[in-house]
Amino acid sequence: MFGAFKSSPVVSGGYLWKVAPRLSGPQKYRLRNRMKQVDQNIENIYTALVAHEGKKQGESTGYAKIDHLKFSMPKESEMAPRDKYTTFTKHSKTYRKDLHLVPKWTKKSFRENPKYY
Amino acid sequence: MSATKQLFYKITQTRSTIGMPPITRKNIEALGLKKRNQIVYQSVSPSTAHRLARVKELVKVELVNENKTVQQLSAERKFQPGFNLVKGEMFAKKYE
Repeated sequence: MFGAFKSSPVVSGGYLWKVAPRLSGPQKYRLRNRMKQVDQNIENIYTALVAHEGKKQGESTGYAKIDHLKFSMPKESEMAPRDKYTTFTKHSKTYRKDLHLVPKWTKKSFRENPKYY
Repeated sequence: MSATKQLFYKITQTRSTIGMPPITRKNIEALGLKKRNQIVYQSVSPSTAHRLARVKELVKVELVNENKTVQQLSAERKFQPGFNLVKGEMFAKKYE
């Protein structure tokens, strides 16, 4: 824009740099650590439950939600960087946005994309 | 149920529930957790497993063979008064 309505830092009201443009290296490092902890938690939940049910390790527990976490949800080590650090959004032209733009992103899991995305 | 070795979930709350939805807060509460770094032991059952699955991002789940009550955990942390008498070669009298 030009003239009186020219976009400038002052006109933006001081909120120009509040949202970081991308995740930093340490943010990604801590995210990976949290994801590994979640993977370990799922492994422990499954291991104890399948033993409790009197079944062998690697078998289905008979509970769909636990089986889904153990067998269907991708692990941190299996995920591509694109899936680790970005998530689906219908508003962006690329259908992706950085994870840190999601509210409470450090307390959520973003492992699966919608079908065809 | 396997009779050989009974397992327990040792659950440590690592993240606060502040700002989390009611379903998450209720599940944390049902596990017996109130604050960060608190440890509780829960017996393995489908209901416990599903509660943990709900809050897997907020806790650390470990597997242990023994169950500990709140009283046992606090007794372990308690300061032991008095002193221990240490005996050994280090303190033996030597005449050279």
